[in-house]
Amino acid sequence: MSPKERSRSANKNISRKEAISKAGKYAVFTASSMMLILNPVKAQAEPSPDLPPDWYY
Amino acid sequence: MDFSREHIEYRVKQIGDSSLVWLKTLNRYLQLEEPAFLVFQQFADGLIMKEIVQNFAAEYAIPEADARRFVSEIKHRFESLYREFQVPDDPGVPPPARALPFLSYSERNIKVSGKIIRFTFGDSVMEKYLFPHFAYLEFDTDQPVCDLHVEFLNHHGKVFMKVNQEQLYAWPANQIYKLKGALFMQILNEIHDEIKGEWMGVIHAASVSLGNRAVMFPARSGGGKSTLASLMMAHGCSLLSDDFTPIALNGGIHSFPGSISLKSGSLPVLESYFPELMETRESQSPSKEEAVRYLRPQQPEYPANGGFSYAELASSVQVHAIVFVQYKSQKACELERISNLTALNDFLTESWLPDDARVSEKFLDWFFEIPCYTLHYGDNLKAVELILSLLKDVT
Repeated sequence: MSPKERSRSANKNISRKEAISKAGKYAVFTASSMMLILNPVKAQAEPSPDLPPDWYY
Repeated sequence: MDFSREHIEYRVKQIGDSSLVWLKTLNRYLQLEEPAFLVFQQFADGLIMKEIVQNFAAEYAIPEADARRFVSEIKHRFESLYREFQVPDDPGVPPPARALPFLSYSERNIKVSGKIIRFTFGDSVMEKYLFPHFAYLEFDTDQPVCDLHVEFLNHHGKVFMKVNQEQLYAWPANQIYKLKGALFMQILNEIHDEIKGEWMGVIHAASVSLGNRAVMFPARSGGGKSTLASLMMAHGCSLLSDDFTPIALNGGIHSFPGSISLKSGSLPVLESYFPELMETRESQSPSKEEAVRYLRPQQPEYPANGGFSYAELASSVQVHAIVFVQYKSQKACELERISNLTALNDFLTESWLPDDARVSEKFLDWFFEIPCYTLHYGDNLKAVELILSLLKDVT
């Protein structure tokens, strides 16, 4: 099932038993454990290669 | 910018239970586990907080209060991410190039892939900063015509680059490395003009090839990638790039003709292979404390004279392994396969990827097809042997 389909099917045709089982996969629902922001550098947000200084000598 | 439906355009790639999401507005990648992705997607679909909380509580059979806390946390994180995003300042209309005192302190020409590229430097500082990368390609000519003419000026706290007498670019002088990035892109597009500037991205990585297979060594400065790439070159590999590896939209790796820059620590390892290194002069970078020496890149598989073209080199070469290298004198040599999901963040940190949905989809598909490794090495020859085995055996 694609992520989109999965999202759309949320809360539909799911039994309580299935829901508890799904929740059991995740010890704690915290944003920090479920959401990782990748690539902390700004390089991608620039319109031209604005590369970090240590790329070059 | 606010985290609202109209600003949420995204692409997603599913890897196991994780969703890799690319946000177009921010040109950022996120890794979301299933619960966080479900929340995100319902915001993107325009659902209101109350509906999302109810759906979430039912989906995972948890109390609504717990669901609300989690959904709020996720929403808050996205709001922060969008708030931090700064729309790049409009640089304004640059002054007309003729109003700037572009002077010729020196003029140097290089010839690469049959193209003549002319640099006109306004002062010795810029010349010493930029030209050593290409000095081995220097070409004496009185010919007035060239394929690419780039002029440089350091004036009133800004550095300027003028291309072919018309396009003018400017940066604060303390960001001269940005000028270097832009110059490298100009040269890259000139010598690979068949790509028409359409790159998937440029990776801060050294890359070597053998036949039509290449290995990339992405790394921050000081990891030992240039030393290892030089050693690979001494053992019959072609150097595609020292630290500026271009990847075309079709995933093909290409070459960049800059010299290899080596710090003094690598000289004892390399001097027996490249005795000329000891005779070259050290260069001091304006942005680095440590001096470097430049080594000419070699492509032993390709003819040294005549017919050699950087555009041809690597036109059919594909990346067969991405190896994150770290020199550790105490370690013999340890090559370890790592998951692409684990490697992705480190790879993105070393990548420049354009802000384009088509590119982001292609990039993720491309990246997840390539095996990733870490290599901690102290035994140079063992490291060479392992990389050669990757180049020969990885299919």
